Amino acid sequence: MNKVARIDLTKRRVRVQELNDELVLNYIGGRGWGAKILWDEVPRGVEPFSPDNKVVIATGPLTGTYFTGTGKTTLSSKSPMTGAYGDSNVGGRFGVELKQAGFDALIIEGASDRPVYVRVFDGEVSIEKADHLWGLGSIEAEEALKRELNDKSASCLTIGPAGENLVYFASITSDFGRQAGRTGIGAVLGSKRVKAIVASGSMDIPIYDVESMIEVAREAYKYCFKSEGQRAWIRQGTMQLILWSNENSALPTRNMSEAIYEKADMISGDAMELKVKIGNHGCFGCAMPCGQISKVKEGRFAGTVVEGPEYETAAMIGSNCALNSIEEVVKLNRLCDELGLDTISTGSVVAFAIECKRKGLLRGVEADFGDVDGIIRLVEDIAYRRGIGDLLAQGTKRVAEKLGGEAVKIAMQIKGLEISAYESRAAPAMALAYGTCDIGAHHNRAWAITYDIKVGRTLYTPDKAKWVVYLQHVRSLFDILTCCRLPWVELSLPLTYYERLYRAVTGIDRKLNDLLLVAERVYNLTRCIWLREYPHMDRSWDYPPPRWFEEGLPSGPFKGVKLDREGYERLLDEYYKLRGWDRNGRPTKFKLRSLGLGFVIEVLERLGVNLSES
Amino acid sequence: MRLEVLEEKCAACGVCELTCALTRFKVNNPKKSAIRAEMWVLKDDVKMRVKVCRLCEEKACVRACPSGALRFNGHYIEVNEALCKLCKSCASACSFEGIFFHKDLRGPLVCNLCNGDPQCVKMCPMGALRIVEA
Repeated sequence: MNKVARIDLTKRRVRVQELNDELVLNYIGGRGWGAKILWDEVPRGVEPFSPDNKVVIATGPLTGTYFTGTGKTTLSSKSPMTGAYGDSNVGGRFGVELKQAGFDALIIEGASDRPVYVRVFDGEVSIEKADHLWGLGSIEAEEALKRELNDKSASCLTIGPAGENLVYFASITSDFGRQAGRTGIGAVLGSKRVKAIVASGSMDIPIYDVESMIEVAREAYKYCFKSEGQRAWIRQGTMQLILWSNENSALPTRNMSEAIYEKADMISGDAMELKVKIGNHGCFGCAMPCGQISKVKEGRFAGTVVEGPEYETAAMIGSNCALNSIEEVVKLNRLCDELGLDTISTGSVVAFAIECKRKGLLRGVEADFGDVDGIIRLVEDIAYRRGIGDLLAQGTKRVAEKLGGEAVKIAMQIKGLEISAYESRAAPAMALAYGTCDIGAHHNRAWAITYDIKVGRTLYTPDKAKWVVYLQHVRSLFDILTCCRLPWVELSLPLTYYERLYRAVTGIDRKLNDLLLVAERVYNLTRCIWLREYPHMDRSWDYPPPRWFEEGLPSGPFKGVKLDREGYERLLDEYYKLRGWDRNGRPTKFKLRSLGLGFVIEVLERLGVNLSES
Repeated sequence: MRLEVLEEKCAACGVCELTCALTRFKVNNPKKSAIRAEMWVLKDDVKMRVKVCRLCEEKACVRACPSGALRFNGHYIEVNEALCKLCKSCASACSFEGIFFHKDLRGPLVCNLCNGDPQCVKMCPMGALRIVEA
């Protein structure tokens, strides 16, 4: 297949192109395609909200195939949060419908002068008017579109008011409750006046060797069904982690000033299961459907339904803003989904604003920790950019830079992206994972905290750097093949299955190490996108915020523990060495050439980036 | 035997759909299956809906077919594609919405219980499908 539809909103023109062999073989799919297309087509200095920015919506070879967790799609763009490479993936069914409609990827470019949606239907792509959808919530818009098209099996990507209003951390919703949450790509779509992308298809997804695929898949499904973890994941999904994080002094609490939440029991997986859970929703093909459907049954928020909450939401908008109950979490979760806000960044921004207010650093914030009504109002003000919400809509980094001083210390972000839900003062490997994540501080590239817990919470040994590099390749390989990593992370499904599945689906015989090399190539390319954007970028960009170095944890078994600066520097040195990067995190020419990325050298050198030979 | 569906357990993951299409046609295409799992989003609720032939008493599809293309063979609804005029009367008559069409296929798709060994039941991760002896 390997077809991409290039949708030029300015010229209102759609061109269908073949993906070239280089993309298919050297970058495979998903975030691999996103990174390469953005390197090739979105030059340095393009403003994220300008028509010259692009959004790449990419499936991968495994999307929609018979295997556990193949319902994924990756979106990539120049991120308004960071001004550099950003991506976010979403589960559900969109990628499957896109492939069945005959396309592996879409490239959205230019900008429309009025609201539109993009319709992809069995080989046809069209740009349609969406004036009637503009202003609707992201779930409302999805339901309206499906009704209008009379197509229940269609799958949508939609933005909410936050995306329309260019909130820097606007998300994209799909299939009611799935989000491409991070890096603000919802706002990039908003800047292009794209309210939705809807895909519906009935074509076969071509498979090289169907019998082999069935064999590999059946084995993997059987493996998952037999696993004890499968039942636990269906029961509570990621919400199991609330109490685990709390016990391990890692649960973000009150703008990450604390790591243990005294009311964790009220927002935990158990609380969800007991009080609000009404069912499960799985992404396409999943052997362990972990998505939870929750409904508030009594009290003032009765009748509120949401897909979720997920751990990240319950932590960042829950404990981090000191919410009091699972019902309050469900309410805020649904509100953020409908408004089209990333719950991780939103929770961080709200908590940051409240702490700033408490410290007398910021005026105009009425909300307080634990004050659900105030927080609801503040979240709405952010989405509609009213009052102080207009400033906060730009994310913690910009606000902190404006306020200066103490605010910079407590802005819990790295490279412009808010840190997701693992407080890491007593988790140096996790801190390094956040510091070196290639979209800003996100956990999905390397969930290294389990390793900290296993080997020692205050150790800064070189094996930690090695583990982070390993995870950054394995985990991003999932976003390149474009399928879910959780069967591997949580049920220890062996990686050899993916090697076998890739061969069955594509007919290309590649060993796992070769696939991991692609992940390394992409990781280096995204680093180079950062360097092209910010030629002066150095190792200080890979540091966590000052709070983690300067303030000890206030309570619990790790009371007083903070990140050790020298230890962190040692970890970073080791990390760069393992990657073949210099001491300021710039890939060496030798490394770049050995990965087939020689083409970036001249571009970076012309910008004054000093690349060493080896 | 017939299929019993426990909709409250369904997670709409679609494993049943792809299992069905691969078993019957060896194609990776959930739209060529005789079973569909859908999520319905309501104002203050979310429900899963599984569409598949339940081998109901009425056999309304058989009666609705004007060209005699459908018959109950004692085990499942058998389709004679040569007689089918693609009028879709059977699908309209089915109160479980358990009959499907696809542009590549000559006739309606109705569950045939995989010759007595329904694969979707085995592969459902949620235990939402069961075999009951009718």
